[in-house]
Amino acid sequence: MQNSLGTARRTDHSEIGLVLLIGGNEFHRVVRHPLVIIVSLILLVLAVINGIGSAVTLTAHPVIVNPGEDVFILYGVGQVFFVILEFCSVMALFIGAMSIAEESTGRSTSIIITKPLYRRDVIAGKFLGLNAFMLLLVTPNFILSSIFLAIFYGAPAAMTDFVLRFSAFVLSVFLYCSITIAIAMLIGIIFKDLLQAAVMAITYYSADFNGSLNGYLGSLGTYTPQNLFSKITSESGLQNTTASLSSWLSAALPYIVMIVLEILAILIIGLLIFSRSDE
Amino acid sequence: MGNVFNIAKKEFADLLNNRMVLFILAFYLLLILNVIWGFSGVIDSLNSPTSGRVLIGNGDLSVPMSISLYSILVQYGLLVGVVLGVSLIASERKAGALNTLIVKPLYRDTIINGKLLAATGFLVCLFGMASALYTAAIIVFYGNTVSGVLSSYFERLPVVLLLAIVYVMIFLLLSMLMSILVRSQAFALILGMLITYISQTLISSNFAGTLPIIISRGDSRPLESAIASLSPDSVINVNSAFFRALFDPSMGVVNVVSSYEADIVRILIFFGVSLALCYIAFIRRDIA
Repeated sequence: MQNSLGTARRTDHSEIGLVLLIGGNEFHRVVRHPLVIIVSLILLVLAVINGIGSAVTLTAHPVIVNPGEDVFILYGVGQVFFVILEFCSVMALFIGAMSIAEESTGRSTSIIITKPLYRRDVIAGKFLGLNAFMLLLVTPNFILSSIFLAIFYGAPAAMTDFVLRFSAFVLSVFLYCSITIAIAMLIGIIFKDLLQAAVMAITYYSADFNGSLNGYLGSLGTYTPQNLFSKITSESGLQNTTASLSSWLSAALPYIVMIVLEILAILIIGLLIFSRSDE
Repeated sequence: MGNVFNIAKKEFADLLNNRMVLFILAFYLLLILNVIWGFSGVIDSLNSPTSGRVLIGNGDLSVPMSISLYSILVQYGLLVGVVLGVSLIASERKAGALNTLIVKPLYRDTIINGKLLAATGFLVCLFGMASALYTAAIIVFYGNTVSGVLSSYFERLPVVLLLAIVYVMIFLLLSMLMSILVRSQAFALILGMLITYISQTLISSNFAGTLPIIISRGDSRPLESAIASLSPDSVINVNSAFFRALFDPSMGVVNVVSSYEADIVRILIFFGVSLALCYIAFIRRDIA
């Protein structure tokens, strides 16, 4: 019994280890891609310009805000929010589509699946690796922009509230990127050719990002990633510092849960298709 | 010249048989239908001025009608242009046909001329059909309401169509350039898409609106215009003076074209530079 349990524990441990190993491998594969350098440079430039620019503008033309509103969050972080979302989600789209489809195109999937690995571990590992990378891409840009704003303009009105809201900003962008990765991975699993997967992925992304997907889906449009993201951020009042963060959380939590459930559902669908593919 | 037309015909047929292109065209059709469907909202605003919705064009229905077409061609057509640009090179690169083609007794410029002619022809046909479909649908569904403004709409139509073709061609050429320069065609596609975002970011408040504030001590507007002018979007975006004039019911189209010659020349320069880069890359680079 002890042996059996011990073996089971070791198996679980090694399975998690394998997932992490695949995740680490995926992370290193993505980090070295030229697109990462291009997007990171663009984001770096925009974070610096907007951090300093917002500080200069706010110093030269002080904004009159309502009591309780924090200019730092409203105009500082808010200024870079959309642009970080836009470029990071394009990055997420590409790395997600590339993750499976590139290996299918290059036939390296055939090698991976002959290894003593569950296919679910491959999907989970790749997804974790890509998410770790996205978190690493999203967070420093928000931090950098905020640091420049703090240096040239001044500190946020309430540091604890800022740190919590800042984390919420990062979380919301990260969740949007995460669901984009999951969808792009699913597309990559369905369309094994990388170019075809990329065309499908950017078509989906254009439909979702410009909101036209909502129009086609009718009442189901509420559950599109873009709509859920909008509900988590602007509609729940993430930038509105007059309302407490807990009121934001209670308004946004159902949508956060929904987006996480959607990610899981997409991954499971992807896994089912991947498991049944004869590659 | 005969070779150019032969290649153009082959490229045109290839584009029509390309699954990626067909998929993107199906998506484009859905977008057009969505815009046509959404036009009922414009009619509602016109019929119930107290609804609180602001009707663009101060009640002149030809303005929102033209702007909707403009968004079909420029905003949604951009994605089609990027995919077309990559498809022109990718399909042959993948099948190895480009290797065969470039060792034939043909000048490389004949090949690229043929490809560009096919791309232009494809885009003209596509945008022509999109405009015809949109116009016909609006007339069929909302004929009674729009009948009085059709002449004003048709007056703007050629300029809108030409402007959209030139604008989308710029990004088609740039994605084609990426496709020539980069081995992975999926990466080229994403780069093509990224270029459209960079172009839009250049004119945005995040870049053109902010950088001059840091650099210049005095009035930052001249520098802002100078930075924004680096992007073709500065001519066609909804906040540009040219756009506002083009859709101003009080200004005739001929007046707009003559008043904004500089903007038209600028977008043609972008087109020329993209074309030249594409030519140089195709002729000079070892694409095999």
